[in-house]
Amino acid sequence: METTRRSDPAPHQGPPPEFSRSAVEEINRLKLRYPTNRAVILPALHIAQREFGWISDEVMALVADVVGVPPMDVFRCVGFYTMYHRRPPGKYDVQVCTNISCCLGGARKVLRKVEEKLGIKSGGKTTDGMFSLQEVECLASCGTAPVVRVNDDFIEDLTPDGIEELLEDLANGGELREKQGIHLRGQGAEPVVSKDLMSEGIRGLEGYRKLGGYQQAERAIKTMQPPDVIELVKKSGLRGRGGAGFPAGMKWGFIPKESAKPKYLCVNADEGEPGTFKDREILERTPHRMLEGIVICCWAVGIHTAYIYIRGEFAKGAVSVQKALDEAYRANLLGRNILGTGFNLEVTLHQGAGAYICGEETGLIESLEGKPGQPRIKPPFPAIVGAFGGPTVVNNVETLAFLPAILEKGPEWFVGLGSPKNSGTRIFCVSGHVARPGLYELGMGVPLRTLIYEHCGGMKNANKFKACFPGGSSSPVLTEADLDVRMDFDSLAAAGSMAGSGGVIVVDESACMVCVAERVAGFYHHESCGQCTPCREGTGWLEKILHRFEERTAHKEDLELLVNAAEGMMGRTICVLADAAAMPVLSIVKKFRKEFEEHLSPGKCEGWGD
Amino acid sequence: MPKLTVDGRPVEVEAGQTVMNAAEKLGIEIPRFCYHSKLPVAGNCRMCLVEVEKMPKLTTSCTTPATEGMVVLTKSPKVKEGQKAVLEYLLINHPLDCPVCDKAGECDLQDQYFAFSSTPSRMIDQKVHKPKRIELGPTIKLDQERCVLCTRCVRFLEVYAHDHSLGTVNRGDRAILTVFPGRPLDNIYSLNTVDLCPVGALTSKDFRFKKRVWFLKNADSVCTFCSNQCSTVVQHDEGTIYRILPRENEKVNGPWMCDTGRLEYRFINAEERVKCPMVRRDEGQERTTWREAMEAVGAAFKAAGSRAAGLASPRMTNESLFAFAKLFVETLGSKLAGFVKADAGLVEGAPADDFLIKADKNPNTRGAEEIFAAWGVEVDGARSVLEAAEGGKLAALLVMDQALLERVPNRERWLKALAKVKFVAVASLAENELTRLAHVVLPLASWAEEEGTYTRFDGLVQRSWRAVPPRGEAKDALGLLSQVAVAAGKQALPLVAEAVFKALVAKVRCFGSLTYAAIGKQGAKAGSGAATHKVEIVNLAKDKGAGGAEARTW
Repeated sequence: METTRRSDPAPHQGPPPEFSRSAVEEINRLKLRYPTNRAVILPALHIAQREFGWISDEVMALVADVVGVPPMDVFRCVGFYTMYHRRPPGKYDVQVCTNISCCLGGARKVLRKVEEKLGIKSGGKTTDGMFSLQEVECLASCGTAPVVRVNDDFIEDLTPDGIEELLEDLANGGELREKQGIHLRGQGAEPVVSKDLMSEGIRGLEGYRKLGGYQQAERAIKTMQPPDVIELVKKSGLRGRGGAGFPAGMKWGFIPKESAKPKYLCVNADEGEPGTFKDREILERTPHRMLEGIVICCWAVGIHTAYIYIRGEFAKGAVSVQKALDEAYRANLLGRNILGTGFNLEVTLHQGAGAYICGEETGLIESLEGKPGQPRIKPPFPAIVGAFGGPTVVNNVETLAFLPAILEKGPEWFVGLGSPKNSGTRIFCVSGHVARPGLYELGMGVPLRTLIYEHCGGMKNANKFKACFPGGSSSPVLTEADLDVRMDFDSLAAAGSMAGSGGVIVVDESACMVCVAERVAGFYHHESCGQCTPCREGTGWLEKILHRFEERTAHKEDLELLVNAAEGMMGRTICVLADAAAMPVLSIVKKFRKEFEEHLSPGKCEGWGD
Repeated sequence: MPKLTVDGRPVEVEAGQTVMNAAEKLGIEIPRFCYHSKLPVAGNCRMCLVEVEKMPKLTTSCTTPATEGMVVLTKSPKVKEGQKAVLEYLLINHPLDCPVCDKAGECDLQDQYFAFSSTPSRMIDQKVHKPKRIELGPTIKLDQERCVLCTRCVRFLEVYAHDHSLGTVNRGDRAILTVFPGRPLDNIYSLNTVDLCPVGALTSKDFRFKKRVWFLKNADSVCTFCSNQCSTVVQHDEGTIYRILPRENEKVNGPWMCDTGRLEYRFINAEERVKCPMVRRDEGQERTTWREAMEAVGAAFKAAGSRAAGLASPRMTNESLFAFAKLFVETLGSKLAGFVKADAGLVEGAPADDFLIKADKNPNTRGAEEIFAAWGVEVDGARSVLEAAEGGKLAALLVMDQALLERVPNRERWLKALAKVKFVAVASLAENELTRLAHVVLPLASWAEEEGTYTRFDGLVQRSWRAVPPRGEAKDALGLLSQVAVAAGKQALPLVAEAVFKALVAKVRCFGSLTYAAIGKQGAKAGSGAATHKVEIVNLAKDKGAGGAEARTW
């Protein structure tokens, strides 16, 4: 098994690198958007990569110089985030997602086809410099799997033939064009966040306003007292849609009213939990709904500076959000003295650079500050000491996008949409072996069986259901016996799993659960930030032990070792990434022990069913 | 002031203290790798897990604030299991190359595995491999496979040395400690990171593979390379010094010291030491016996009468300085004595900073000033000696410390003047221009070869123990000065440092009523006497070249 390593840097050639004047100006302008220079490291590295194509040692030193930080601070970021190239990539950088949903959809075949076609392996580059190949982790295209990202463009719903065609076309000078599949596949009686999602007009300010957009933000600022907004959101029972399901209103309530340091909102748009692809859709298609939510949140909590931390891979999402920001600034919906109310709010889009852990709220804050996204010790919680030392709210994109409707229609209405203590709808991201994978906005508490067999059209090829991750790949798996569980935070917790980010990955009888477990472990191994001992060393160990099962070289005692190695990490680290790696693996071992035992003797398993 | 119990024992700590602090207050040891009392908390090693009543998970004691009524267990089965697990993770990818690791014998990982796990390895997979034997800079080699990524070194350099050279890069089990490409770690405090390293990742190039640590013997000592006087431990075996480490002293240096102080011991072991007395004959200097050398010294000093003079060094111990002053003022009846203070600007080593290093590179300037003042030796004594020498008025001169003139701005003038002195005896560690013009060279013990006290610039008197016997035929300063007295036909001087110190305290008022016992290992200040004695700490580096500098450097 190959351990994913950052390849050694290529040597710099030619004269010392120099930024263009416009790049220096851009970096200097960025410095005004943040309280520290260090926070500009990630954006400056993006600019550097745009200018030079990749990040050599010399470029790191240059960035340090222009940003005004020690070179080591830059180096630490370049080493931590996977999107910064340490060697020149090909003209087309082909990134094949091989996370679970994509593998269930045939990503292994796609990868083999690319390898065969280009004659290179992951990490390699064709001799003509046209193509480089990378195996990457979840790209949030799980409903339209498998996906390949070429440079910044997503090519979804791929087949081995499709990728062959694409590579030939590009090799022959064809133009690279993004090909997205259909993401939104279903809505319940009363869609909220996905309302009008498919109408083209909603992307722009004008269209959004025609549909009543920004009326609630304006009403809040002009007619409501901040505590009343918080109270209303508390009453609505809105729980965070990022994973933990923490009540949003209560989170806001923890922020001290008076603070010597500025307060911040960090919008968590770092959607990376495998199986989750809802925020990407909101960011691309209805960014104003999120922006309106931001305005409402900041008014309620008394925040004047917000950062939208968007996954680096979401290049289209970033363009869409930036456009929406520009429109909103021009319309004085953001900036100074919003709509003449005296309320000021600066919102800045901040792009990540490839690190799952930045979806963890304190990892996100560290990353925003220009450091590796290594989670912080809590307490203090971000509500007290967060971004740049100030009290900070971290809210998920979808969570914020609910706010305008909650203000418009009232908390009782919102409560009525869901199940007890689990208000509202949520966007379920269904991927894997179902007939119609995609996004479904449904009331919380919809039974899993209903979700799969009614909304998603049942299992793909009418195969038999085997297992399901109900809330992203870190949630313990459910089996057929659990099909009647209600898909809300409390019911899933009671069933021994979790609702998490709403990423529902469905596996049928054709796939091998040992394979699935190994891939889950591989992902968390790749993403462990390297800070805490148990997670840093343990995630890789888990993958290695599971790999031996896959290779059928494991011994009987290895089952116990596997369980020990997983359990030993849990609850002993700063953040819960170690638990996120251990829980699904333990649940698979527990519920599919027979498959592991079968792997102790020679034979061949179903693999990914492809 | 929260009150809590740790392992059933009640304890009260200051608000804001952690569970770790509370346990330490009770003398309960909690294992740790990343935690260090002098560094910001990182909480990454996860070794210091404890069980706290009403908390569902184990928690790290270094990060958990102690609160009222907390019930903490540090040795419960749950804690032991957690510690075992953390140690297992630490070791699965560790190279386990203890037999060839310099840290063996003083390695936290070894010790804590022995104490808290001692179970065989279950790792049968390929370990993660990382680069080894990396030149991190002029003083340190790094083994990235041994590194446990505790970041103590990174935090130390950032906080104390304001140096951002070191950092961790990459993620997960690919994470490594490193410097920025092409920018080595070159910091005067770099070797503290070797002390801090809980494993054998950072090793001192100077000490690497020289000695297994369990053969080393310790002598408590004081660093004599600047007036900060860091408390140190001299580690030695069979008469050879192998390593100098800082000795924790809150009043002086905490647990730190600079690389200069650590590495300058090498001249003590050096082959170039003056190992036996030398006497000048027509063809140059020749080896001789102590008896013959002292006969020459005795004859010269007897003949010189009141035209005898002496130059002492503020690198000498209080006891030696006292004996020196006594020899000239009382025994020989000469008023021509003084000490020569080095010019900071001319001394190799780092300029003064806000951490440990001081501008005055002499450890005992204050002691010399106090003692000479008590004997009535004029502050400017050295200038009188120089002028007397220039005027051809000196018949015999004894110079303690051959290095004196290497660090004075008017060196040429001194050398010219000394050439006019009829007889020059130099007590010396090594040969140089000064010894070459001497009529007799007497081998002198180094600071690690003698016992005594030093007075820090702030009045703190510190003791230094003898680590190794003097090299060759060298004598410590007390012995040497006594021999001079005897050779000059006078009464011998006391040879035992503690006895000299008693006499010193009786004579030099600002030492109050200090005793060796009171000074102990951490040093002590005299009572109010010391406080009223004003010592001017002059930043000589700043004044270098200025008109007034010369006077102050005498």
